[in-house]
Amino acid sequence: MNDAGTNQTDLFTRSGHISELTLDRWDLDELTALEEAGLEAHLAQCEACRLQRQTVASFDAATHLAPPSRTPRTVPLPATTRRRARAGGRAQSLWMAGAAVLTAAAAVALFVVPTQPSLPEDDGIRRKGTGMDLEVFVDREDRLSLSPGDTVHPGERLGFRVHVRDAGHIMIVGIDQSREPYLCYPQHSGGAAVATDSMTRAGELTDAVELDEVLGQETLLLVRCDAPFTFEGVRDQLPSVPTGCQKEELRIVKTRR
Amino acid sequence: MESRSSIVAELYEKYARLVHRRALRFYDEHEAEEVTHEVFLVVIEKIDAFRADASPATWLYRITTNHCLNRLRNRGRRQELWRERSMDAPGAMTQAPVQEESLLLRRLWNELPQELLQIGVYYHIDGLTHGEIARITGLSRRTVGNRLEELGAEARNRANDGGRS
Repeated sequence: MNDAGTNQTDLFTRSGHISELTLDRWDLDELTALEEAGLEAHLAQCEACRLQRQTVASFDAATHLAPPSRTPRTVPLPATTRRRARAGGRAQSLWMAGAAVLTAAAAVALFVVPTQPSLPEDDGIRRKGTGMDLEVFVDREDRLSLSPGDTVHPGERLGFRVHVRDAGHIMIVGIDQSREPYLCYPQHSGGAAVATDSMTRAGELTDAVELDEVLGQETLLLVRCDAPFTFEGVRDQLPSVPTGCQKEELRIVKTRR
Repeated sequence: MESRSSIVAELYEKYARLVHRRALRFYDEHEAEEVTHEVFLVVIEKIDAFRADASPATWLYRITTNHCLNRLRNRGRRQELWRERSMDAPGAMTQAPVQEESLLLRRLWNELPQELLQIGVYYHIDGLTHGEIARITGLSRRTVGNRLEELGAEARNRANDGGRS
């Protein structure tokens, strides 16, 4: 079900459907452009999730609680108001006494018009930032993604998933504590960056790299340039990249087990 | 600068239904509404800790989950209530199938450390991935993985102890 890849996997439950929280974040415009594109692509092909969204929207409409501002993605909200149907219990009293401002907010409840899930109007990707994502994971059974500051150990193998918005040439390089750059991907091109098309979804790379014994900070860089380039051509200026190129960076720490 | 009260009011207006639906995973409709109000009392207390660049939905989802679990513990409620509610609440479709781990979690829930319980609920009951749990809790994915391993080990130990007694 979930074929959106990389960070997009966080949008889904382990059963491969969109989590309720993610649907809420989508309604509330809290997703990144990349996440939004992944979610909408999934919705377009998953009837169960479309039904789920409708069920939640209908439920919200019936509960008389304030809706999110972005719910009517295609249908404007009617400017109708009404009082809450019934008061709560002890907490309601506390709330009424202690937070008048909340009472005022609760008194204004708008009707929600359930909407169908909207599909991408274009490619669903906003043009901002570097347009790239780099995800690094320890190549073992759970394949957990690393966050900045996470710890890795000598001998562990790192795998990579990347998303590149714009076509070009890409390479992943590492820089260890001794500031020595090394090539992570691609490993079989003679040091030349790999030409790639624009990706609408993240893809996992085939090459992994095994960590050596040099302890300390480890910086991993995804570098993308419009023109072809080589590792030898960029290594002396790393972690900076040539003018006109972009990079995404992850810093982790290598320690002994 | 926007006042604290207006921020909380705005949060209520936008997010009360999310909180209410989350509370329905643990309580019946009447109690879930009461819990919703309680959660926003907590929000008033904690609003200063909320970072402007964070996701309000995620923050409230976490606060609501924590509040519901604490509330169940404080009242000494039986976990069967939680079990019944969690399966027919709106959004229950996204749950992972009930597995041995989740059954063990339900049995041990009142004895587990709070952080372990929360992570267990997100993973075994809500079916969330390590990544989403990490985002919700603010822990790293690796820490989430480690906690789940701890939980699994704890569950196995308890099961073994139970088998011997």
